[in-house]
Amino acid sequence: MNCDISKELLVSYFYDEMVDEEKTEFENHLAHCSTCQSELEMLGQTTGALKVCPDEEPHLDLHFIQERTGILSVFKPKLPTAVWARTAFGLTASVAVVLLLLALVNFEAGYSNGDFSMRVSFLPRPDTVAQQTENRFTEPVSRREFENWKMDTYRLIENVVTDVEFRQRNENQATLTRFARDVEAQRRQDLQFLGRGFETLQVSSENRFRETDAILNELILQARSTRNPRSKFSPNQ
Amino acid sequence: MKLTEFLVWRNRMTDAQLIDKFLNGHVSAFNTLVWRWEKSLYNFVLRYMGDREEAKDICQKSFIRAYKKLGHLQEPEKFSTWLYQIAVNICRDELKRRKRRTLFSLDAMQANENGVNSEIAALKSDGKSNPEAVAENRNAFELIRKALQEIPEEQRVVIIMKEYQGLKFTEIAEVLEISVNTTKSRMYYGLSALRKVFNKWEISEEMLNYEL
Repeated sequence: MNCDISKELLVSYFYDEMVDEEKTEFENHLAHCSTCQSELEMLGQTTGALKVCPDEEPHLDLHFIQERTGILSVFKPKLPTAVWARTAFGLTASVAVVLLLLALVNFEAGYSNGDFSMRVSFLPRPDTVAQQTENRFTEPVSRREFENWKMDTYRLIENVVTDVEFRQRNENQATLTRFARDVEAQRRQDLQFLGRGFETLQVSSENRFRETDAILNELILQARSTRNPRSKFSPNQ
Repeated sequence: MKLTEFLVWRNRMTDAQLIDKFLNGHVSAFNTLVWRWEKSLYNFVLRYMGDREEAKDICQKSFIRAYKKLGHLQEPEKFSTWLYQIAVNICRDELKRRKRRTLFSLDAMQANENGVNSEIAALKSDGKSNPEAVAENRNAFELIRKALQEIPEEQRVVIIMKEYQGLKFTEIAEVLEISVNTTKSRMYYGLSALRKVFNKWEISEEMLNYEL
């Protein structure tokens, strides 16, 4: 017996997904349609067999964990979305990379006497810097610059000379004062010395005078005594 | 709050609420979604693909893809539909790859055939006299799973979603992005094809139930 009921309707009825009116209509049809009855029976058997296959426990071992939100995440770069911002970001990043490469160029590693040494810097070594400053003088210099340097040098020399002069004068003054003091002390000492010498001289000459005086007096007495009886030295004789 | 209380509280939240929490930085909310859906998704994929290891692998891939793309989900309340869609897409890619492989491997098909025959034999023999079959009690399940593999993929997926996941035809249509009528007709023809497979293998519902 042919049946114009669609398979879709049959399935809908089987799974009870029909609106009430449709359902009543279908049930009316089903009451005298053996095709649909057997079809429904077939569906029932097949799905009944499927029920035998129960659910299994999955063992996925799947667990999502929180990303570390430490201090670093604050500095986590957020890439800009605008095209110009992206370009700017790219340029900045490339400059940073170039700087880093320059630093690597100045990287030095050495090993001597059991010690490892390492040097990373944006600048070359100091000795190479010195070499470079020497080279600086060979570069052309403007007249004005030269004059400025000259004046600077003069001023510097002037300052140095003045300073030295001042210091010399002070020093000289101090030396003279000291010398004068020394001379004065010496003079006093000499004068004392002289004074003492004169005194002794006076005393000794006085004594001489007294002695001479005494000798002369004795001579006079002797002479007088001899002139009376017979004078030896009488000028008349 | 104790961990168990926390989990219960989490479990009471809807998918949309959990997604909102996840998008606000609470990764653990996604784990609740995984716990909630892993069993149904796994069993869906297992019946669809017929292989446990593959099902596990595809489930993991699906959840990872969902985790990465959750921000793009337009309607958070339709998370499960979306998750099934992801899984179906991965399964279909895998089936294409498998088809390419089996084109060059007749041995694999032969092996599959032998496996089915041995299971039918085990089922037909008195189950209770076969201690291994009783112990494992798996023959029936394996047989159903293998029978499902015999029917076309687009019919199989509808049958599984309807019979095991308990989705409505409108929901299945939404997941598969086909019309409701197409879904229903695939359901019907799928079940007819399945019945033919059962007849070919001489399996009846009673036999399966007896085995159980």
